[in-house]
Amino acid sequence: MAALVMGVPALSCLVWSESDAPRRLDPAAWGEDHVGRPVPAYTTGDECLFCHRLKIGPTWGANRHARTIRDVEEQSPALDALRQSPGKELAEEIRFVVGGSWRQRFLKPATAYGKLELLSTAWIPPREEQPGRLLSANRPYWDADQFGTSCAGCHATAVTADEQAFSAVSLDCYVCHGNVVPEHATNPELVPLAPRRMAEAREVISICAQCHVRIGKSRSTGRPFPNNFVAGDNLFRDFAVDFSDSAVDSLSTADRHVVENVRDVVLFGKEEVTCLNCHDVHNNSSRKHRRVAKSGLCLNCHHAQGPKRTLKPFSIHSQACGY
Amino acid sequence: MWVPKWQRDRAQGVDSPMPTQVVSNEEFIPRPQNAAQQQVERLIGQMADDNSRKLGIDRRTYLASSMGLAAAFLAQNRVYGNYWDVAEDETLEPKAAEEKWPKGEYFIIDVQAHFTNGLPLGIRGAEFFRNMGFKLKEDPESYSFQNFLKEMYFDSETSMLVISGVPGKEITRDAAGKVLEREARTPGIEGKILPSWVMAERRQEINQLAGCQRALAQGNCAPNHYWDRKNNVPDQAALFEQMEREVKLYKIDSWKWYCHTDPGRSGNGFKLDDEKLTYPFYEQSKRLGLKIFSVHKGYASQSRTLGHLANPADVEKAAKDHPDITFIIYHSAMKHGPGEPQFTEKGYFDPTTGDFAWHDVLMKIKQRNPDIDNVYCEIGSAFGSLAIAHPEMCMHLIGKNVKYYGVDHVLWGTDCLWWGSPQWVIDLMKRFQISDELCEKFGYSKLTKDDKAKIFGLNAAKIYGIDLQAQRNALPDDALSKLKMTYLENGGMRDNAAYGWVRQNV
Repeated sequence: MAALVMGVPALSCLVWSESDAPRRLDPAAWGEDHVGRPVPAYTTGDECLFCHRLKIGPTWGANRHARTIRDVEEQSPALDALRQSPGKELAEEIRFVVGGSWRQRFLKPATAYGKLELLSTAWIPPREEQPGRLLSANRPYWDADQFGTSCAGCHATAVTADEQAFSAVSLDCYVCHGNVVPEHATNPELVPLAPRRMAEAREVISICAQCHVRIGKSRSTGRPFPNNFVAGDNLFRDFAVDFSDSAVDSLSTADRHVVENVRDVVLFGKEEVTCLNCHDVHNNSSRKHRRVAKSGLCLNCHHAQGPKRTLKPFSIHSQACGY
Repeated sequence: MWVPKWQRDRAQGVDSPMPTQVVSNEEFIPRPQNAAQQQVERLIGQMADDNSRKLGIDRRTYLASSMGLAAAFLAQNRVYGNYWDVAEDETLEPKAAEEKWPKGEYFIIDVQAHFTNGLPLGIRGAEFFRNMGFKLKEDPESYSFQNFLKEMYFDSETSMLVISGVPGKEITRDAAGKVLEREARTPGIEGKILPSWVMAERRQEINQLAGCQRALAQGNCAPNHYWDRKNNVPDQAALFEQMEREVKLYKIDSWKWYCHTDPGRSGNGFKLDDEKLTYPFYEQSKRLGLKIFSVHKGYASQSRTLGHLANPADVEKAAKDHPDITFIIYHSAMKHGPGEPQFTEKGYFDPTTGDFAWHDVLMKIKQRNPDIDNVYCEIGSAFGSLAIAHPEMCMHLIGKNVKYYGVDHVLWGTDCLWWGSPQWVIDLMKRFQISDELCEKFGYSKLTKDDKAKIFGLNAAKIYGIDLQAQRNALPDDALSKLKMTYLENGGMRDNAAYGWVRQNV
């Protein structure tokens, strides 16, 4: 069985114990990065939607990428529970929520630019027979640092390396499409992830992996998210990921199928499948799963035999995020 | 099998100046024409065949004429009910339509006109506009200033227009502190759409070409455009510098605000009633002598996460606190247009009250504050799209605007040339009337010609201080009018071609 580790430094630490190991690549050997450079003065999503209002605008507000940080609902069970807890005074300050059906956290704007404070109390939404409940509710406090150091990179846009200050909540178009040039209107292939770009798998994978690989770490900052990644960059020049079998096997099904796909592309040079084969991001849809093949990657969730709609039991929980 | 609409029309002998089916812009599978649409199309075709034969002209010329448009209105009435004021003789006698709807009857000031600085936006592909019977190309040229002149002034009755701003900011200085000029101020995408400096220059060109005032221009600067990130507060020095530049150097005629956008990366949008962030802008603007604020409200999908700031609820306090400022609320705050899926969602429009999202918020402000006199409802995109897609809502839009704000507080705007030449919207308004039933049930008033004259231009003239008598004297002989005459004499006319996709077999 192969034992494969990619850590710090990443370039020379691939170890295979078998002589017939598949062709392996150096994930950091191509492209550029923006480590140490200022965050680009990118075109904001609101400007993008001025032109893309018809196709993207009507549905983007409901897209998960646009809701990685979302307004708290005044009538939510979570807020109701907080209002009856020792944190009832803090509850009135809550402006945003992160997280989903596994766990949710609460946020308020900080006084500093591009900062949010994270409430120490979490909410576990109702699940199967279990009612919703609060976690760490006894001595709630606002944590001024944790969001910036642990969450901002994947829940907000354009995070600075030094102060972890973001320029917009949730994920702006820039996160996946980069610093779009004006000429893209007539040459759409200039935009990362544009269908006409016919991008290499490693470029696509880098973009998705910046957040969906939840076992990575920036070499330059030590944070669990990339340092100033700009779509089109090679994520793995600065983002270290343990691709070993043991690391991958320990992941939830959802995380595992992501990391396996990334590993296939950046280590083994298999370019047939990327996230976009199955996921239609703008339409919030995984409808393309109907086309699911019987590769090892797909068999994380699907059975080799029988109807594709019958799934194996799977989980999406990640220790990195707590939900 | 899918074929381009024009190809299908040519094969079937269809040439319609009005929509007869939904045409796909390649983003969805074309839906089949429904029975009513088929009936409208058939009626238009029949009338075109019969009438062009009687008149001894070819079919295409007929359908590009005012008679063809009248035939389309008549066909719509026969299928959907009497929404449009059109008589049978208008479909046969060129003079009938000309006499009933004389060109130049109204002094038309379009307060919402756009072009781009060479960027194709791709938004002329809205499904129900693509088949309006106009040449809605999608290339850079179709959004250009040259095409703007043609479609706004030559292909329509528009007398004057306001070049209206879009989201985007100018960079004031380079790293060394040197003041930047023109293109250097807008190096990104915003520079390719419609920055303030472009609007000002093009206004100047139009007025110089015409030899009189035909265009006004807005400025894009807004309270959150310059941000001091270190202290997380507005960079007031940069903001005021840009304001002064836009007012004094560009000589803008109004601000154009998008509260729900953040081109300065401040981390948020802004509200009209934010005393800390927005009120200093008002005060500085007053000091500079500019008191007209045009504000995009509604069409909330145009923002990624700040769409809620396109809600007009913040107009109330701002208008009350600043009675000396004129607030023009664009799109009459309609939250979603007919092209958006939310438009048909349950609860968006309540036929029992005539309310629809965010327009009702704007209406209630006036109901609560009858003394507010400085808020105006602009109808760009809202009127034209509703007239085609939902005539009943259109009647509520105009009925309520007039009922609550008064006919002297409703302004004409079209959002063209995003939607091609505005003549079709002008024709819609000329023929538009609120039904007896809705007038009786909701207390609306029928629109008179005087009312329409106010909406079309007299109200805007008052706001912008335009001397109408002087303009009426100057315009007929100005260079633009002469160029238009030459264009028409040389056979310039609408082309009823659409470029979307439809099913071949319907």
